[in-house]
Amino acid sequence: MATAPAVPGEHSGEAEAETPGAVIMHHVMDSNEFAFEPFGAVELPRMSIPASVPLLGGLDISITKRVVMIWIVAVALVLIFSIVGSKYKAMGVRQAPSGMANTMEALVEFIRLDVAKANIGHGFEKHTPFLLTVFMFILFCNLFGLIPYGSTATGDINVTLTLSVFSFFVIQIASVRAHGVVGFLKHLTVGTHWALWIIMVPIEIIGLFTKPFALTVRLFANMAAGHIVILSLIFISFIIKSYVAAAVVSVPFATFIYLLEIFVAFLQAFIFTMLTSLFIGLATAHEGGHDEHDTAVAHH
Amino acid sequence: MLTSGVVLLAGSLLTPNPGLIFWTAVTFVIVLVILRKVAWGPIISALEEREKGIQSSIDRAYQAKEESEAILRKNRELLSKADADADRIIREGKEYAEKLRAELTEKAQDESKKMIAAAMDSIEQEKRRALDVLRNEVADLAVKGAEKIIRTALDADMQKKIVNSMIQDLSSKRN
Amino acid sequence: MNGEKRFPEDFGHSVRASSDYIGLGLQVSGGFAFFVFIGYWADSKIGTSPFLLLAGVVVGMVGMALVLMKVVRAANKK
Repeated sequence: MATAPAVPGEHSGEAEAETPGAVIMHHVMDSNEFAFEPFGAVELPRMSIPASVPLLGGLDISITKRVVMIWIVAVALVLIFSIVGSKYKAMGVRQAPSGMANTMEALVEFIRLDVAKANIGHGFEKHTPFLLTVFMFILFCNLFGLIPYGSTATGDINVTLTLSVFSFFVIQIASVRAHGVVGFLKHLTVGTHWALWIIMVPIEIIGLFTKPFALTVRLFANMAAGHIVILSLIFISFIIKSYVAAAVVSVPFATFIYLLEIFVAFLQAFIFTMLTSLFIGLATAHEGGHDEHDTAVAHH
Repeated sequence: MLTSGVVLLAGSLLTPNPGLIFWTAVTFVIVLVILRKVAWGPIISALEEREKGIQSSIDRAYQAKEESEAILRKNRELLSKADADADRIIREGKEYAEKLRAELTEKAQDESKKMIAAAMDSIEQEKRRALDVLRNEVADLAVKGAEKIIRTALDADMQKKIVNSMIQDLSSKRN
Repeated sequence: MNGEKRFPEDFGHSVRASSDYIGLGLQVSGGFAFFVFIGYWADSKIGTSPFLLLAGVVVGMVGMALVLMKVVRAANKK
C-alpha cells in the first residue's frame, strides 16, 4: 500500500512527484522487483500457498527483493563453508589452515570460544552450530546489503523478527532442557502464592518474549538507520541541486558512513549472537544469580 | 516531505510481510541444516582436535620437564653420594695409615728395646764369662803360689806373709 | 588484542548483571495491556461494558505490583 510512489516503471525521473523521502524509502523497503537502476528491472514472481493447505493456506509468499537477497546469502554461505569444511576434512591435525579457511577459522573460533563458551559455559557445544549459522547469516546479509543494487535483508523487521523467533525457541528449549519441564513451569510462577498464578504466569510468559524483542528491535533499527543515513547524505546534493555540495559534503560523508556500516555489519552480527548466547547462558544457569555473583567477585 | 517520510517509515518498514517471514524461516533452516553437516561439523571437530593436540603437547612438555628434573635430582644425589663415599674412603685411608704408622713405630720401639735387652744380656754373659775366666786364672795363680810356697819353705810365718801379700795383691789388683 | 578480548567479556558481564531489568518495562506494560485487553474483549463479548475492563485494569495493576515486588526482592537478595 505504501509502495505506491515506487511502482515499477515510475522511476523514470523528476517528471513525477518523486520526493527524495520516497526514493529513500523505496531503497530501504522491500519490493517485488529487482531493480538495476539505469538498466531496468527484473520482475519477481508473485505467488501464494494454495488455500487447500491447512494452517498456511492463502499465505502470500511472493518472491521479493529481500527473499532473493536471502537466497543469494544462503548460496554464498553454503558455497564458502562447504569449501572451507572440505578443506578441514582433508587437512591433518598437524596442518594449519591457509587463505579463506584461516579467515573463517578466526571468526568461527571467536564465536565458539569468546561468545558461546564464555557466555553459555557448560554444554556450549550443542548451541555452537546455531550460533555460528546465525552469526554468518546476519553478517553476510549485512555485507551483501552494502553491495550496490543489493538490499539489506537484516534491515527488515520481518527477517530479524524471524531470526529472533528462532533464538527465542532455542533459548526456551535450552531452559526446559536444563531445568526440566517442572522447573521451567516453576520458574514462571516465581514463588508467588498459588492464587496469584493466574496473574503472574501470563506476565512471566510476556517477560519471556520481551528480552528477545529488545534484541530484534536493536538489530533492525541499526541496519535500517545506517542505510537511511547514507541515502539521505547522497540526496542532500539533489535537494540543494549543487555539485559542490555533492563533492564536499555528500560523497565524503557517505563514504565515511559506508565504512562505518562495514564495521556495524560485524558489530550487529556479533551483538545478536552475543545476546542469544547470553540468554541461553542465563536460561540454563542453575540457581539464577550465582553467575552474577561470580562476575562481581571477579571484578573486585 | 518529512512527514511523508515518517508515514512511509511507519507504514512500510514495520509492515508484517508473511511471505518474507516464511522464506526467511525456510531458508534459514535449510542453511542451518546444510552448514551443520557440511561446515561446522568438520571445522569444529578439527579445531577441537587441534586444541586437544596442543593440550597434549603442553602436557607432554611438562611431563618431559618433570622427568628431566627428576633425572637431574637423581644425578645430584648420586654425585653427592659419590662425594661422600670419596670422603669416607680418604678418611678411612688416613685412619689406616695413622694406625699403621703407630703400629710400625711401636714395633720398631719394641724391636729396639728387644735389641737393647739382647745386647744387655750378651754383655752380661760376656762379663760373667770374663769373671769365670778371671776366677779360674785366680785359682790357678793361687794353686801356683801355694806350690811355690810349699816348694820353698814350710815356714808358717813366711807362709802367712806370703798368702797375705798375695791376697792384698789380688784385691788391690782387682779393684 | 587485549582490548578486543575484553569487550565481549565486559559486554557479557554488564548484560548478565542487568538481565533482570532488560525487558522489565516491556514486560510490565505488556502484562498490563494484556489484562486490559482481556477485560475489553470479555466486555464486548458479554456486554457488561465498563466493568470487566475496569477489572482488567485492577488485575493488571496487581500484576505490575507483583512483578516489581519480585524484582525488588531478587535485587535485595543480592
